[in-house]
Amino acid sequence: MRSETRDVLVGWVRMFGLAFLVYLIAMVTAVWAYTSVAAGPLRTTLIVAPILPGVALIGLTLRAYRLCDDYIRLRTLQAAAIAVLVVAVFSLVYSFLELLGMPRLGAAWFSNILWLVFVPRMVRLIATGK
Amino acid sequence: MKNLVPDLRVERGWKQGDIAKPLRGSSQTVNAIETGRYEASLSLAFAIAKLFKRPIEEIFHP
Repeated sequence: MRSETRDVLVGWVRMFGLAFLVYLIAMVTAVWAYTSVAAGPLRTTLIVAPILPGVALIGLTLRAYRLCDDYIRLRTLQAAAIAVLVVAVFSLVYSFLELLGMPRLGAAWFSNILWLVFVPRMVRLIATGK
Repeated sequence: MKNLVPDLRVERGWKQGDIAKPLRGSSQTVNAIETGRYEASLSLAFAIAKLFKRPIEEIFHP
């Protein structure tokens, strides 16, 4: 795989990995701030901080999508569709499990599940390039 | 749709990555076309025909 599309995909993996790491750190910090920091501007800032790297993840993916060729776009859409379906099934099942006493989950869980399904498929697609 | 892309490519001693670059695509795309998992778009089919200097209908056929 030696082409512009390859460069776009490799660049996506690098930038996405970095943004995802920042997102995870910000998310853990937000959870910590939610439970441990007294109400105030610092707490608010820490709690909303994951939004920025989260939006960056989406922006980087859209950018890579626009720059790749049709086949990679198709595979990207397939990966996104599968991720959305997994989240749909998970949210459907869990919404009823909550009624049976399972702990309530924040919306962040659904976002994380979506990425956890989407990213490995994209990495596998990139890894298959010869 | 069947195509002669792998035959024409091997004939010239090119690798999938070699034709992916002038087509501004990826070797995954070339591989998917060669194995029939993906049908090339019209613009890509024209680009492939131009690359191999063959009429499009000679390379792609139903």
